[in-house]
Amino acid sequence: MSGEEKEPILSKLAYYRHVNVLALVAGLITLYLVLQSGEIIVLVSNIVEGDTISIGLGNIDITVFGRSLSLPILDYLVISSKLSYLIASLSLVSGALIKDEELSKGLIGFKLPSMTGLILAVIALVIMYLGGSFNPVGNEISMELTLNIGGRIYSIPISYSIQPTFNTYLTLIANVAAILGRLAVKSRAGYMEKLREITASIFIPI
Amino acid sequence: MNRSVIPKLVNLLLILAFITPLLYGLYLYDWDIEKFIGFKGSEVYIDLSFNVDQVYTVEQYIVFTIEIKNIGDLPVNLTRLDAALNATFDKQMHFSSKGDYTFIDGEELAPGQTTVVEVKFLVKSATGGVIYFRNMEYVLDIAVEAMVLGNPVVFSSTLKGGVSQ
Repeated sequence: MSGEEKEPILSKLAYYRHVNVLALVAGLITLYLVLQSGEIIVLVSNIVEGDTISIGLGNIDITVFGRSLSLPILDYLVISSKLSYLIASLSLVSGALIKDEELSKGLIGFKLPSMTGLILAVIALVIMYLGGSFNPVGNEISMELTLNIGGRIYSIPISYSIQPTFNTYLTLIANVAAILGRLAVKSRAGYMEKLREITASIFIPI
Repeated sequence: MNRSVIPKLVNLLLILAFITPLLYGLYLYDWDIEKFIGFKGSEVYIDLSFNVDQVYTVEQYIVFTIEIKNIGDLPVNLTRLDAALNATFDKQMHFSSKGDYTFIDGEELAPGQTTVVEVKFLVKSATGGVIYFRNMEYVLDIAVEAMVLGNPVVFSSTLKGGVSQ
C-alpha cells in the first residue's frame, strides 16, 4: 500500500465538500430547460422563406410551405421528453446532493445523455421516415418530399439549416456536465472505498 | 430498502416516462405509424386552374385571354406557357395552331392569386385579310412551365369551348 491515496483530479474538480457540483449544474440546467419550455433548436428552410421548425422541450412548432403543421407524434414526443428530462434532472440533483457515493453514482448515472440521445434518435427516425437525411458537416437537414403537383407526383428536395439557440448550448453544457459528473462520482467512489480500506486497516479492533 | 434498488427504480421510471406517452399515442392512432407521424408530402396540394376569359381576332390572329389561378398551397413561379389550338368553324373548317407566352423574369403567383395572359394563334385566312369566325368550337391544350420550390415543373390542362360571333 502506498500509504497516501491521492484524490482523482476529476473528483477534486467536481466536488465541493460532498456535493457533486457538475451533476448539480447539469440537473439544475435541465430543470430550467424543462420549466422554461423554450426552443432548443431552430431549423430554417433554405427554400421557402418563413418556413421554420422549432424544437423545444415544451413545444415543437412546424411551419411548412407557409402553414402551421401539427404532427401527432411530436405532441407525444414533447410529453415524453419533458417527463423524462424532469425525472433525469431531479435524479441528477438528488444524486449530486446525497453523500452516499453508491447511491449518488446510481442516481447520477448516464440518464441525461441517454435521454438526449434517445430523443435525437426518435427525431432522426421521423426525419428519415419523411424521406430526409441529416448532413452534420453542412449543418443541414435535407428532405426529399413527394409532392402532388398538378396531378403528377414530383420528388422535391427541400433543406433546412440548423440554427442553434442559447438553449442549445445550455443543453450541450448540461449533457457534458452530466457525463463528467458521472465519471467524477465513479472515481470518487473508488477513492473513498480505498480510503475506508486504509482506515479499517489502521484502526484494527483489539 | 436496498440502496441499489432506488437507482434501478428511477431508471425504470425514466424509461416508462419516455415510452408511455409515445405508446399511448400510437394506441390512440390504432398502432398505425403513418397516421401517428401524420404528414405526407403528397398531401400538399399544388395546382393551377385555367379558364378562357375572352376570344377575339386581331388581323390574322385569334387571341385567347387565359386566366391562370393558383389553386394550390404553394407559390408558383410561372416561366412559360405553350398552347396548342385545335378548332372547327361552323363544324366544317378545321385548323390547328400553336401559341406561346413567356413570363419575363417569371411571374410569382401566390396561392389564390390570378393572372391573365393573352396568347395569339396565327390563322391564315384564304384572302390573307382579317379573320372572322362563326360558331367556333375549340380544344386548347395548355402546358405551363413553372418553378415550385426551386424545381421545374409543368402544369397541363385541356380546355374545350365554343364561341359564336
